[in-house]
Amino acid sequence: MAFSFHGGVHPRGNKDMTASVSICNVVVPQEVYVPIVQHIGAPATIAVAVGDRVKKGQILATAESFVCSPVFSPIAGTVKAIEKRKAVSGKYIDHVVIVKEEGEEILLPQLENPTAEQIRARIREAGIVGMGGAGFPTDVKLTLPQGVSVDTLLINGAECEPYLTCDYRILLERTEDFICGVKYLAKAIGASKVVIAVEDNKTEAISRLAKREDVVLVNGKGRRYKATAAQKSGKLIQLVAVRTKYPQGAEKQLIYATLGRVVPDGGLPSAVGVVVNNVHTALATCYAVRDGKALYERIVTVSGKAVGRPGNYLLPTGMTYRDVATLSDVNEDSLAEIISGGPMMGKAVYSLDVAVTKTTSGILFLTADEVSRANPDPCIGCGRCVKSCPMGLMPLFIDKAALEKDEATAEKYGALSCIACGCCSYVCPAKRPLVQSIQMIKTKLMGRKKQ
Amino acid sequence: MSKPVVQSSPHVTSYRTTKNVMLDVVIALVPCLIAGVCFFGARALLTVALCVLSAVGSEAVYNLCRKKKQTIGDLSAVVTGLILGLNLPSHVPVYLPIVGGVFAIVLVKMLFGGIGKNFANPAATARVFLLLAYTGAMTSFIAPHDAMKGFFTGFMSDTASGATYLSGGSQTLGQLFFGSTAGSIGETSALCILLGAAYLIIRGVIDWRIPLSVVLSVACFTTIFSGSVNGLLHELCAGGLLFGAVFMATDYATSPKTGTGRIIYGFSMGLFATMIRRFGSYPEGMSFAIILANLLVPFIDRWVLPVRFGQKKVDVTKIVTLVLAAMMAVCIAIYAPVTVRVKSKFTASYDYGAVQSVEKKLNGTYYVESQGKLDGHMYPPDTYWADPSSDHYFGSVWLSVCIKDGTIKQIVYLADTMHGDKVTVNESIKEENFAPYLGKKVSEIAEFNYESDIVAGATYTSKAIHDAVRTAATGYLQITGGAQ
Repeated sequence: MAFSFHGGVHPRGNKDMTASVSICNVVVPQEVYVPIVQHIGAPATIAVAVGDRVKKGQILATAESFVCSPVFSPIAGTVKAIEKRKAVSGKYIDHVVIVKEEGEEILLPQLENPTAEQIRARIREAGIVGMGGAGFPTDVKLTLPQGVSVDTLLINGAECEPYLTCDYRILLERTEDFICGVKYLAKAIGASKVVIAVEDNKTEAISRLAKREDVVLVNGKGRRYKATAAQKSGKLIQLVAVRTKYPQGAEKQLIYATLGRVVPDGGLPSAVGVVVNNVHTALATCYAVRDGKALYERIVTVSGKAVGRPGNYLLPTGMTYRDVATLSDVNEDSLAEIISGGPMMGKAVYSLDVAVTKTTSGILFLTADEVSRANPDPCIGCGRCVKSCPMGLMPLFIDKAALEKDEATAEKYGALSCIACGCCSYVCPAKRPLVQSIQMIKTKLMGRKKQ
Repeated sequence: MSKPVVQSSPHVTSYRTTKNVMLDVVIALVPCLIAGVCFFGARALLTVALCVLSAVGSEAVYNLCRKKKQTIGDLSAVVTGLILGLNLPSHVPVYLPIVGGVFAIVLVKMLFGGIGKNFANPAATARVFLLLAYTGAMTSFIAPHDAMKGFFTGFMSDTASGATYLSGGSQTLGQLFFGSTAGSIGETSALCILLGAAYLIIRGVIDWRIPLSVVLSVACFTTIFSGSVNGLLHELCAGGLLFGAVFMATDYATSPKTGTGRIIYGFSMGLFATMIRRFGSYPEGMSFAIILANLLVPFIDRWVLPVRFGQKKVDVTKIVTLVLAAMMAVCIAIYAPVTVRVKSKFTASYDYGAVQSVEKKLNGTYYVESQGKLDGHMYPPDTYWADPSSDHYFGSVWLSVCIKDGTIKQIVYLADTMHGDKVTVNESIKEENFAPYLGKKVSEIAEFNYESDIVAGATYTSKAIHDAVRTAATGYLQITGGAQ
């Protein structure tokens, strides 16, 4: 299987609405509501008070523990309030409300020829997290434990979720900055080679990257990744066109598809000598290390049939979805569902008053015909979920065990290894919410294991 | 704006629903239904229709009585009714499909929890029930009409009964493939079944592993048990094998959920079917085999798990598939050349009529087949063996007659009927019965008086024997040009 993995599904791409729309800046709104948790890990500690004047790029909350990331102000202005608001996750967290005013921008100090450690420190300082959606602090990922070494940096340009095109546009429009960021990342972990994986339907991005002097395209036609052929070219960066399939961007599946290495069940990619980073994370790294810019804004794909002006917008964190809807001319009458992220793994949003964060890769305003809603029917035992599961689990049996509260059986059929990609629920003819029940029993199992 | 929907991910799903899966199965069954109606008349359509109505009706009534959500909209009852209906002989009494439909839906499916929870294929189980409860009606088949002509004539009247291939009839491969043979409504035409199978596989409704492994397994074990590949294609096209393998074995609830599991399941089903066909009393073993294999499925699903990503496990799928495929290839490879090689030994010295080059082995001696009947000669050139057969109303007989120098030297009784490798033998015919013929000159046979029964008390058999010997004599005279 050339540059692919077992299982997976092929939902409709729906990327044509935004694939050819250039990244565009927006007029920053009057008020922003910056959440202090935009990452996986402990919440950042608030470092400003109500009434403070802040500059653009000024730190609002500091990272006090290891797995944590600082939060910055995307605009210059005054802190109007610090209040608890509901985030996309549904939890109440502190948001710093800033009113826009005239002001300056703060940049982090210049770095000349940074070392690996300096790069990692700068990544932490700038608040860079995994921008593919998970939000894991990047510096923590790049800080390898004792005895673990990594030889390959894998850049995840798969962007397998339907509708999303932000990474694609970055590859086309910000190629130079992106490659610069990639090189910084490679240096930060001491990788001897870099592999950039892009889905094979993004032909323009592939040809644009392949034209570069420092990139070699690994021929994908019909053969598993042959490290030797590209290695001989002596170039640092290898470009692999992977099979367009969901969830090609899932970490373990992507590593297997590009490098043929299998991350052990329950293990991390570093166990096979790989670290994976998102395209936008690489771009943000470049801006942080080269230009001293902290992470407080990002490119977000705004799409869906209810959107009048779909596109890839450079949005500040803290901008409400309501402002995004106004900016992109959303038709509220035809709006049936709002999704933060992609339709396969994204979270449905019930109110437009939530804010854009570092990890918001897309905001979808979908009409009724773009959304699937159905009442679940009994399981017919067809096995399509088993066939499509990229992790080789048996979702129908986990679902059955979860509903019967049978944790042992759920574990046997693989609940703990579930990556919640949604393939099983996608293919189920009975429209059963398999991911939901698997996540439920998984949470119970993990809670039990912690005891 | 009304409040937007909030649901868990994924927010998009594939177009497949239970209903459209079932609809695809119904579409795939249509060619079989059409063929069945063409061959057996409009009565076949009535039988199938009654079965479908009974199935849907009993599910609807059950749901009403149990105050459950009405489920007939998912079309699974329609599919069960269709499959069961196509499994019945065309001219069964009207109460049979009705009882069968109720049994299949209520007892096998609904009482166990409805769709997805049945322990065995509802249609197969109902068919077995009907076979045991109404054996006579379920085993009397009518001979097929010419296509289209038979549509209206076969409605109510009982037409000539026909023997199915497996219970002793002799049909050609063409008849078995296109379906112009006695049998259940939907299972006679291999061509229509294959069309349905192709449709279902292309649409992604059934897994190709199941029908393929069932058929290969039957092919392999038939070859082993009968010792040759002769008649293999006949065996595969005959009876309910193909229909069961494509439409009944592939029922989702009662088949395993993994690829390897499905191969093991199909393989064991083929083994069961062949064993019942060969060693059991019933000529037709597929329905029983389906049920037996269905019972294995919970065990298969418990032990055959897919290889989880990241677990260092041996790939069971590959090993199992390779072992089974190798086994089957070895069997067919062993038997095919053996029989072929024997054939080539004889054709060179043969000089009697048009020789088909198929060999049949019987009682330790080899015979050359000619024009569909065992009718050949062997070496050395001046000794002629003829193997005539004769059919009389209650007596039919295959003999082997040896003529040397114009006199009958030996007559060997072979069998009453022989096809495939099933032989029925009349125990009362002994070698001494043929004594009156031995030593007679061939030219005298025509005047031979057989009034005194050759086989005491069996006039028809005696007549058959005499006709057979006379055929041999005539053949001998033809070859030698009447010289002797």
